[in-house]
Amino acid sequence: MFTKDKSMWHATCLLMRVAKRRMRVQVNSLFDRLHGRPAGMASLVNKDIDVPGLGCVHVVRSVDCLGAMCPRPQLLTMKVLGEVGSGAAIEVVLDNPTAVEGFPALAQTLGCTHLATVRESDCWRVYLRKGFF
Amino acid sequence: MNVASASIAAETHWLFRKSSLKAMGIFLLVVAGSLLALAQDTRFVYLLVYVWFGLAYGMLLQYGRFCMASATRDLFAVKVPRMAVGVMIAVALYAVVATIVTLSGFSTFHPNAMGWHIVIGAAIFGFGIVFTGGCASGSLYKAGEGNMNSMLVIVAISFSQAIVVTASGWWDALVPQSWVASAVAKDMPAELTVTQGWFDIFTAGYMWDLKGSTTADALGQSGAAGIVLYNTLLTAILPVILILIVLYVFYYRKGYLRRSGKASPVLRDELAGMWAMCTSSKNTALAGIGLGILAGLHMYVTGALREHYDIFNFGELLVAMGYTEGLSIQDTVFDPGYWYITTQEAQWGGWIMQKLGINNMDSIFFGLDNGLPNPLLNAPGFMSIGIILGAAIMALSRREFKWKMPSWETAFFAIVGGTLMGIGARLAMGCNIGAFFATVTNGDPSGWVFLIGMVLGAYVGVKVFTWYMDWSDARKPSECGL
Repeated sequence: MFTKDKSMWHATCLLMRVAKRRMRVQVNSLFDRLHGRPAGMASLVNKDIDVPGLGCVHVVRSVDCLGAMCPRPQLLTMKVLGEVGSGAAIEVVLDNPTAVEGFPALAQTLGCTHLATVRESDCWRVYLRKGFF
Repeated sequence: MNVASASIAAETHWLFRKSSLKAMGIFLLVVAGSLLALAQDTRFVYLLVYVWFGLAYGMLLQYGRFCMASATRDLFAVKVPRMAVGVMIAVALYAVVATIVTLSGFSTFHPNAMGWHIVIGAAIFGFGIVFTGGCASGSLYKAGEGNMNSMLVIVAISFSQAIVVTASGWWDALVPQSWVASAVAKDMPAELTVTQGWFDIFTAGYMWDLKGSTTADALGQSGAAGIVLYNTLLTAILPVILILIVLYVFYYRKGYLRRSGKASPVLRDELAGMWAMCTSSKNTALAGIGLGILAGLHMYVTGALREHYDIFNFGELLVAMGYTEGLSIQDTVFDPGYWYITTQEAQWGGWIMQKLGINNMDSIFFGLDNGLPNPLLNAPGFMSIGIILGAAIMALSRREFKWKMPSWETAFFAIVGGTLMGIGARLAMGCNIGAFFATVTNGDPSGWVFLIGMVLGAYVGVKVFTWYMDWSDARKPSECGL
């Protein structure tokens, strides 16, 4: 009887713990979904990327602008371009068609070359190289 | 520009893509809805003109990624004149078509009253657009691309306008006492209660005393030559050319000359540079041309239909069809006859508030002028819905449709920015479409005043936004990843 009770107590505790953990995961994911990821992040990548129609490009920074509204992508790109050396290439990942359209023109004003805009299934990758080439 | 497409999607033919089928589905839905309306009463063709022009505006706006917010904002934020050039192209073409429409006697245009309220309202509006990421039409077409943030902006614009035009109580302290006396002197029907509600006092006591007219009328030159010379050339085309030159000199020339390697440019090089600036984004230039022509045609078609039905306002047609609910005390509804955005959105918000038991019909804005029709009978309202659907069709068929949910931050900006846009649009008697695009092209110089205000507001907005970005980056350096 005692052992049975004890095991039941254990089982209840275990269930409670599982339920608690599940709840925490649920709440966290809900919070994440509501809060969203910080729109617009720049990260160091330093990798070679095979850009269709252009060949291999060494990218030093990747600017993630998924979900960002204008003018954040533009301002963030401006900031990142100010931090890389001349001749360095950066990548901007966008899902805002209006911002994508403006990038070739933006490149000219920011003193860099628009290398390519690559269309992917749910975003665009824009490649820019600092300086005119 | 080197645009490479990903190989996966390029393999499927346009016709067999899921998104293209959805686009066709929406199109067929609009066709079916139109036929249903016509089956009810053929006079609904008047409303359907708004629907189909809205659809075309939406498609073109999405095609050209025609963001009028970026036209003013990007000049300061990143010093890119692309959209400003696109808007100027649209203005020039709309002006030409509007002249033809005016000369043929089908113009539906009414000039706006000129005054300080335009600059102040436009500045508030211009400040707001920096935070919402789009103007009123821009938010509509971006909502059509699946951007729920823009949908939130539209909701904010709708309700903020409806609240602003009907608010009374402490709001009334915002207007000077002299306006109250002036409003009383207008001898308006008692049910409008013009002395209650700051917007009523503002409208009757201040706005109605102001004059608004086209340049040709102001100079007493209302003949055909006067319209062409003063309205089209002096009020629209000349400022457009001047603005394009300013944009070229300050934003484009240096980079162009460096790229083309011309050290000592002659006039021919400068003209080539200006042409390069105008055609630097083909989509935007094409959309500008299309929007300019369509906006003029829209006036023509509505004007011709008014002539055909012998009416001045859609309200008369609604009465004839047996719909009398929601009309103003003059039996009118909002029916500009041309591209307009904000007023119909105010009516959506106002209509919902009315249904919730708040009486909005005692205001001049709704009760005397625009009415509060059921959204199903709101002709310009369908133009706004048409823009959303048109943009959705275009975005789906170009595989650019994507559901985007707002984060807390963008939702906050959308609501605050949208509210500011609503307040600004009401003070300035329209947004960048109704108070700028439609006015300057029809010879009313008040639109340029709106543009000046909007540019000032956008300038301050960009400063604040940049400051906010730096501040939030500094606050969470670990998340920024830099």
